[in-house]
Amino acid sequence: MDLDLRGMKAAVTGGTRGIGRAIAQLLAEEGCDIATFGRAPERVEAARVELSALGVRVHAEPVQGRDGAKVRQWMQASVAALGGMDLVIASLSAGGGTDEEGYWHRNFEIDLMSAVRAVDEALPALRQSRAPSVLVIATMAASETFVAPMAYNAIKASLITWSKQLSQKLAPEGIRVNCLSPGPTMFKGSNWEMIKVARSRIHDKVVRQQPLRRMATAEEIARAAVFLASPAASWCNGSHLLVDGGYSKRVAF
Amino acid sequence: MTVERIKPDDFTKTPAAPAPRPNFGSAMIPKERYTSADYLRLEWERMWTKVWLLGCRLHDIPEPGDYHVTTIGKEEILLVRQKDGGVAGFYNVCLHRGNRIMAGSGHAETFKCQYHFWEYGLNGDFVNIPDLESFPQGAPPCKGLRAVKVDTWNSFVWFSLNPEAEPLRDYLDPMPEHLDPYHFDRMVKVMDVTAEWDCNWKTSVDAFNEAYHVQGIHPELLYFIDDRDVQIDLYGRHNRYLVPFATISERVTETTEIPHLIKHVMKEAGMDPARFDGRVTEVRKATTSCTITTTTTSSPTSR
Repeated sequence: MDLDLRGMKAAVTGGTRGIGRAIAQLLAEEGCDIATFGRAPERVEAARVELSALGVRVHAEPVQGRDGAKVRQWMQASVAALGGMDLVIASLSAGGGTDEEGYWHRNFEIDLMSAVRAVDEALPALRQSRAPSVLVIATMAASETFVAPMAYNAIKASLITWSKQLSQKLAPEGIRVNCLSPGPTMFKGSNWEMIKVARSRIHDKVVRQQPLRRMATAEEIARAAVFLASPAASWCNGSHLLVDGGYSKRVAF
Repeated sequence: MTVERIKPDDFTKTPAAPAPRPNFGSAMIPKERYTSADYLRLEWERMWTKVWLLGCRLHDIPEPGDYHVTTIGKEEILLVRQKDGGVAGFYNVCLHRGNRIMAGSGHAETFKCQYHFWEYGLNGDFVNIPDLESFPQGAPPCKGLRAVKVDTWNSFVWFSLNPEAEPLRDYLDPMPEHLDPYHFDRMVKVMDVTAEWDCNWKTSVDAFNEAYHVQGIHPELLYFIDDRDVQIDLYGRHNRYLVPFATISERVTETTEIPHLIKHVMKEAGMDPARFDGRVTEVRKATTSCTITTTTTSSPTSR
């Protein structure tokens, strides 16, 4: 199957580590130019070097995702640097926290608004694309009670709702919008890697819920994400794909 | 390694600068130091009976007559709060038949041996020897219990079996400069745990002189302390090491989320982790309103 991605331009928020990084990698391997940002300058630089080595153009900046103006400027600069934009993958997340008020603001700005702002700034370029699409990365924890009530889970749920309704609005313009919810995912530097060592009981309990007794790899999430975002998924619009290895038990009739 | 004090005007004023490194060479340590009865005997003769030793806290014996029995080697020492507020210490041995006089800790008006009821005052003097008139030689020529040197520092009671021991302050130098600012006298002991190990005493002391074992024994701390960038300073008899807290080890990869123990420290320092936009590795420098280093000193102690 040809994903038909060669020569496309893709923006991945939070593409310097974890799931976002794996998505950027796979897109670059498929021949996409990549724009991305992250918080840590050395990881931004590492991503730039590694992705460039695949022979694609790369625009990568260190940006704090809470800074709305910076996120918008990054997308503008990305469109200019790559000469357009075909795919927007909103992958940035602040991660979980507790139910304290500060985390609601944190996840609102970093998980939700960075996606809204990035898509908003990319729309003029997407309208010029031959096969534009938006993919929003949410979480299984939005639809499955998970660990504890917290802002992360609920704010991610709002991304699912927003992506569905955005897909209705943008479909007439040929812009597809989809959503993907990963289950617990393990990668180098992941929060789960930390929890496995620092709070092993929480980690072990989650793994016991997995039918395969392991967490996802970032690459397993990325393969599903890249398909959904690619022109090959031309009839996927407004869909919400749960990629959790069977963690959630409910039959979704 | 040299640990950078993140707040140079730290309220504790505890010196952070590294001490000159003595050259101890790098020869293997003979295993006999841990296994030889002769070596243990030399340690007793030349160290345990010569140095100052921790006995208890002043808070353990707040009122005149409060006592605490501590041990060192085969000796037991009875530490007693005196009527004038000072603290005295005696070998916990009755002068009559060598019976143990007191056990544990508590309060007493006098110390009465339960064997033949020889009775001593809080200052160790004989108070009553039953049937004294039946001893043709009278009472022993000494006044009472055999005393040991006792002094206090920073709320701790110290004793020495060495009658020629130098003053406690001289012995402790330079640790008071490091630890006085912590005001242990304002702290309350909330837990007292004794763990007995079937090993040479140095086996346990060794563990408290390094952070090398963290990855094996306390892996969860890899997300709370820097176990490799540890500054160890040697000051003759004493030593200390500084371990950076509220950061992560080089052995693990930085995470998006702040590990929960670091969040606790941030809250203690008046910071809101949810509103902190820096990285995990930037927390330490951002947390300037609290002390983030821990100082651990090592010195012979008794139980």
